[in-house]
This record gives sequence, structure tokens and C-alpha cells, in this order.
Amino acid sequence: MTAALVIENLHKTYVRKAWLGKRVEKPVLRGIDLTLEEGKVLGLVGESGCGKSTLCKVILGIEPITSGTVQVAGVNINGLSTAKWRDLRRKMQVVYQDPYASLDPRFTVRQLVSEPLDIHKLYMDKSARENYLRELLNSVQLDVAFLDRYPHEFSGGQRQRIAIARALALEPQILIADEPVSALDVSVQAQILNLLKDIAQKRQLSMLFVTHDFAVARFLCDDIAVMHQGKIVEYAPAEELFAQPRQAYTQKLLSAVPTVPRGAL
Amino acid sequence: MNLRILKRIYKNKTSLCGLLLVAFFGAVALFAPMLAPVQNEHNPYQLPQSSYQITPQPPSADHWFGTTEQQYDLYYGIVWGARLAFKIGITVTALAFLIGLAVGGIAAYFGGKVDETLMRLTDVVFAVPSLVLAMVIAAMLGPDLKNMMIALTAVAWPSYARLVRGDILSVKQRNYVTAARTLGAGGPRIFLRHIVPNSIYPSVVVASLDIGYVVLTAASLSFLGLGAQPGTADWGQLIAMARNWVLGTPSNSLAYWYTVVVPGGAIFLFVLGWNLLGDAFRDILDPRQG
Amino acid sequence: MRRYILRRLCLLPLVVLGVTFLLFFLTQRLSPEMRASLYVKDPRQMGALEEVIREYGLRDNVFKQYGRWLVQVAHGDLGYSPSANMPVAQALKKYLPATIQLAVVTMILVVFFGVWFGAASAVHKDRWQDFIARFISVGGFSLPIFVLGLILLMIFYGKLGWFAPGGYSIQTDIIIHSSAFKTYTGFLLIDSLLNGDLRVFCDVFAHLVLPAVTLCIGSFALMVRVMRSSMLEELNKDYVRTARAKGLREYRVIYKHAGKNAIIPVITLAGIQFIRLLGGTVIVETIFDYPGIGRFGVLAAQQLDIAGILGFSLMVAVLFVIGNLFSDILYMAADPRIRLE
Repeated sequence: MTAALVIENLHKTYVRKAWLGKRVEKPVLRGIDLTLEEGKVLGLVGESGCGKSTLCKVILGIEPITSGTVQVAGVNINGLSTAKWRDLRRKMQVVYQDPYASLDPRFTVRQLVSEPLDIHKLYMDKSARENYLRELLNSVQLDVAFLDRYPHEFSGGQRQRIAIARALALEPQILIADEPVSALDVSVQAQILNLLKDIAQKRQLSMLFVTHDFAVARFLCDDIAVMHQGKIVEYAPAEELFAQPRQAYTQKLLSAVPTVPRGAL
Repeated sequence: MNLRILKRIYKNKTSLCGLLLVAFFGAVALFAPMLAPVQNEHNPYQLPQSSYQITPQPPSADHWFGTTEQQYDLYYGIVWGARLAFKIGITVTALAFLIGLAVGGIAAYFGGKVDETLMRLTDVVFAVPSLVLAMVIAAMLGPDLKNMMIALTAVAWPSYARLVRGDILSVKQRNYVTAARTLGAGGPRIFLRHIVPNSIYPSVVVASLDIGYVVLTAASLSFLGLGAQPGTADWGQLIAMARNWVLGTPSNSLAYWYTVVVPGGAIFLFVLGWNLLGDAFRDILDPRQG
Repeated sequence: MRRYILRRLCLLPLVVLGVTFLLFFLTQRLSPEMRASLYVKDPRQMGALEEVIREYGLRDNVFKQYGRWLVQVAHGDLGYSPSANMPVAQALKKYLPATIQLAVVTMILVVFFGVWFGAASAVHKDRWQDFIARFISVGGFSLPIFVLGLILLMIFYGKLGWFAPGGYSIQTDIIIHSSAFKTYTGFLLIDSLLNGDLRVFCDVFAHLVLPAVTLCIGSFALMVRVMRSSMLEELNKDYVRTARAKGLREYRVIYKHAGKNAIIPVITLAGIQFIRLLGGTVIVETIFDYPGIGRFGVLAAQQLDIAGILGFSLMVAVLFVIGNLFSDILYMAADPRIRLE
């Protein structure tokens, strides 16, 4: 089995130039080693401020790497050209935390979901495009009649479905899900989680699922990595981690989770 | 969206007044050739003169609003002055906004040194009160209508540049811009399709509401003799001609009241209309209200 | 905060240089003969302009000329103003006190009446006091200064004969130019008191009334509006309710408690408005023939007196930039939540 995503000794330090040229450094990622196996769902769990979101940004190329390597589908992303990045985007897509912010309010659903296709010049034929859009909306269980509506007409859960449809449009092999349910109502969370689980299985996606919620991670993930202050402190298959957390920090986090009776989800 | 704004304006009495005033002057400007038939084919903004007698004449059947110094017809001046006010207001605001959009856009897009240089340039223009700067520029270029509009544009663009730059920078931070980047969109595409449409819409509204202020400044310049030349159907210019007559005659000190009140009233109502409309829009655009 | 002020102080000369260069650049459109006035020190030289042009290299490129002009300005020489018939530096020195005097009197009117009307409007919300104040605050923005000025002149000078235009009467002119009258500050209101001459004081003050009332209209409208909304906000706060519940008398609640807090934004606004008045003085001084730098600037602009225009702009830019910096600092000091970057 090959790896979809390999991260080795990754460091990320934000540097702020203060007055008179003083440099203020703030290390956020301090030597991350992480591997996402192909077709697996890897949960990345940690408290807010531990560097989860920064890690996502680095993987997605939004923030530059300070040191270390990140390989996405066998390609080292450090210093990658714009054209190569564009190719890589087709293999790796992302679903963001806040569906209210990640969709351009001036775009209709059709424009939103079409945008990646326009950028990568896919399905340029009109009827083929239309069929594909319908297929995508069906796959996230949205009514095709919604195609010409604007994001503000939808609920949070529906918007997140739109965002997922957009992410799937390029048929990626890897999906980064950056806390995709934490901005949603609890009642909607379960629906979106089920949808993501289905999609991951059906499309054999490799997924990096970022969350601060152990219950959510347990439901969805094959493996779990626990992150603390810019480091991975524990990495184990999900069942093993929940049955026998080895690190003190993990134990502390788990004990803080309100116990949910099995089967409640 | 637009229907909602109109509805709210309609509901509020004062903003409705503003809308009606602006619409009224708009209609006068539009139908000027019918309301006051053109006398000089080459330049309709040239005021007709019935004789060369100096003293103003009070309102009469021939001259509804009376005549000002040198028998220029005030009615003609008000009607065509409305057209000229819109012409000046719209031209200056549109030009200034386009320049501001270009400069603010370039500053926000490139950032760094380019941004710093362009913003210091706007500081320079902001370093003098706009009326004073416009006055000095108009004087150097030579007083006429076209140069006055150039001077007004020169002092108006920096505020739009700052407005547009600020809006673009705040939109740049939004998640949907990052999202577009992770879809593989390039810089120009993100800028033109996501950032610009989301940032200029509020700026366009703000800019268009400045028309009243632009017309007020233009009238001030004309009043100081640094804008439209004597004999032009320009409200500020009409009031400048009234300056010599404010003290009236020895027997009746208010004899020539109409030379000030008629053009002064026109400017007042025009600017009032835009200000009332502007207040309503600012309330509506205020994010604190739903 | 210190960093911000320092940065602004460093930028200050740059901005003033920028403005003057911009205007200097514009003057290049004019003929060298017209520009020669910048370098003339004496009206008699006006006859021999060709010499001046040659001597100062007025046909050189603009940067060279600007550099020479700067050196000249550094030596305190701003050229000769034909419109004022005296050197520009002397004209500015002579006219500036009158303008500052006008601005100060105007600002006192604005703050006093603005706070009064604004507070009354808020306390009597939706009653007749409120309607009058709101009408003024909307109308004041839209009424051009020059229209108001002419109407006031028509009524109060033409009809009633109360306030004459100009800076002072002929009798005052004779007194202040006599050797008995000592000039201490250049501000006539203060100097007349120091000389113990109340007649001069009253005369100068009477000549200030109409320009000040005219000039205050725009700022006054803004002040009423800000005071009203600020007072309304305070009146709705919990501490006012507490004060009422304690059984304090209503006027104490309003003026001691709410009024004190509501006035903070008004004071900071006053600082900013003081500087903004500079623009308005140009028109007001022209209408009332008031001998300040605004009128000097307009005359220079109308007669294309380049030395006068450049000197006037330089003066206004320096005042405006420093004033803006001060009001920013005042603003920050008054409200610790504001951070300028």
C-alpha cells in the first residue's frame, strides 16, 4: 500500500518583523511526521491553537514551508511551480470549516460548483457539464433545482453539501476536511458526517479529517493522530487509541470528553 | 436586494423626500430643452440675455424667476443649471471613482512597496482641504468648466482609492478567496472574479452618493470665480453674479432677494436631496442592521 | 502609539514636500514671465522680468527650479505677492492671526450650541425640540456657506445695518495703526484687551459675528448630530437607569451622568472640525471681505499670483497636516479602544 500524503519533520515558524528590525519568531509546527495511507481516513485531533489549521494550510500550499518535506501523491510540494500546483489541485481538494465564509456570496450554486471545472477546463461541453453538475449534486443529496440559487438562501448543512460537491468536482484522490462539521448545528453534524463517510468509501478517498472532537473522530476515522503544541504526540489505529491511550496528554483529552453511550451517534 | 433597498427608502419619510428631490431635479435636467427652449444652438449652457441693462429685474411674466445682473434669465439658468449639475456631478464622480478603483486596486493587488508609494501619494492630496486644493489647481489650469472638472476629479480620487483598497484588503482575507486558490484559480482570476465584484459594490454606492457634495464644491469654485465663466447656466456662477446686489437699493435693502434666493434654493434642495438619500443608504448598508 | 506618532512625524515633511512639488509642477504650465514673481523681492523689479528669468534660470527643468525654490523657502523668502502688494511671508504673518481668531470664535459657537441643541434633541426625543435640531442637522449640511453668508449679509447688514463686512471699522484702523496701540500677539481680540481699549475689542468682535455664524453651519450640523446620537446611546445605558432608580433628580441624571459621557466624542470631533474649518474660511472671508489668509489665498488664485498661491498652499498644508496629527492623537487619548496603524 502506498501513501497519499507523507509529511516528514515539518516545521512552520511565523516571523513578524518588529520595529527596528527585531525579529519575533513564533514556531507553530515543530517537527511533524505524519502519513496518510491511501484509501484511509486519518483523524487529526487536537485542541484549538495546537497548529491543526496551520498544518492544513501548509499541505494546501497556502502557507510556505519553513523546513521539512510534504509529499502529496508522491510529489514534493516545496517550491512547486504554479502549473504543477494546478495539476496537484486536481488530486487534492479541501472542505473548509465555515460554509458561510468559504462560498463566494455573489456566485450561484451552479457557478460555485462549475468554478473548478472552468479553471481546469473539464466538461466544457454544455450538456456534459449540465449532466455532471446534476450528478455531483445528487451525490451530496442536494436537489438539482437548487442550481440557480445563491448561498445565502441555504442552511449551514446545505451549504456544506455545496462545498463538498465543489470539492468533489475535480474527482480528487485526497480530501482535506478542516473541521467540516464544527460550525454546524449538532443535529446537522451527523448527516454531514454520514455523507463524508459514504463518499470516502464509495470513491475510495484518502481523507485527512481535522477535528477537536474525539467522538467525531471515532465515528469516521481509521487512524488517529493526536496533536499538541505543534507536535504529533500519539499516532495509532482508532480502536487501539480509544481502548488504550498511551500518552498522558491523550488520556487527559479523552477524560475530558463527555461520555456518549455507544450507539447514540 | 435592490428591491429591498427601495422598499426601505419608501418606508422612511425623510429618505423618500430625498429620493423625490433627486428625481425632480433629474426630470428637470432630462427635459431641460422642453422646459426652457435652447437660445444658443452652439452652447445650450449659455444664458440668454434680453438686454444689456445691468440692474436685475424682479420675477415677471416673461422671466418667471426674474433676471440677474445683465439681464440673464434666472429660470433658464436654474433649468439648464440642473442639467449642468448632473453633468458635472456624474462626470467627476465617475472619473474619480475609476481612477480610485485603478489606483486602489493596484495598491491592494501588489501590496508592499507599490502599495506604500500609492498610499503616500493619496496622503499628499489629503494634506490640503479639498476645496483649497481644487481652487489652487483650477487657478493654475485657468478658470473654465473643463478645468474645474479636472481639478475636482484630482482632489476626489484619493478617497475612493483608499475606500477601494480597504475593501479589497478585507475581501482578500475572506475564506472564499483562499478556497478559490485551493481550487487552482490563478491570481488574476481570483482578483477579477471574486475580489473585485465583492469589494466594489459598496464603494460604488458610496461614490454615487457623493454627487451632491461634488456639485456643492463645484458651485463654490464657480462662486469664487474659478469655475464656470459669467453667463454660464451654472448655479454657483449665478450666485457669484448676485454678490454685487445683496445690499439692495437705498429705499429697499431686500430689493434683489431673488438673485440670491433662487439659485441658492436650487443648490440647497439639490444637495439636500442627495444628503437625505445618502443617510438612508448609509443606514441600510450599516452591517449592524439586518 | 509612540511608533505611530513618530512615523507620522517623519512623513509630515514628505507630505508637505509632495504638495508643494505637485503645485510647483503645475506652475510650469505658465509662462516664465508669470513665474518670475516668485523671485521678485521688490515691486520695482517687475519692470525687468527678463533679467529675473535669466538670473533664476526659469527655463531650466522643473526639479532644478524646485530645488532652488526650496532653498529660498528655507531662508524664509517666499517671494513677492502682487495681489497683496507685499512679500508673501509678510502677508501670511499679517493675515494668519485674523483667520485663527475667526476659527477659534467659530469653534466656541459650534461646541456650545452643538452640545446644547444635540443634548436637548436627545432628551426631548421626537418632540418639537428634536425636530428643530434634526432639521438643522440635515439642512446645515446641505446649505452652501456662500448662500447662507449672502443671506445673512443681506439681512443683518443690508436690512438692519448691524454687522458691517471687513475686519474692523475705519476708526479702529486708525487706532490700531497709531503709535499708542501696542501689538503683543497679532490677535486683535487679545491685543485690544491688553491695551485696555474696549471699543476696539467690541468693534473687532462685531466684525467677527457674521463670518463666524456662517462658518459654523456645517460643523454645527455635524456636532448636533453626533451629540444627539451619543446622548441617546448614553441615556439607554444601564448606569443611567440605575441613577434614576436611585431616585436622583432627572436633570442630575441627564447632565451629570449621561451628559458627561456623551460629550467625549463631541470633544474629539471638535478637534478634527477645527482643522476642517480652514477650507470654509476661503469662502467666508471672501464674502465678508475679512482680512485673513483665506481671502489672501482666493485673491492670489484669482489673479494667478503664483508666489501667493504657493505660499498660501504651503501654509495651509503645514497647518492641516499638524492639525490632523494632533486630532488623531487626541482621538486616541480620548478612546483607548482606538488603535491607529
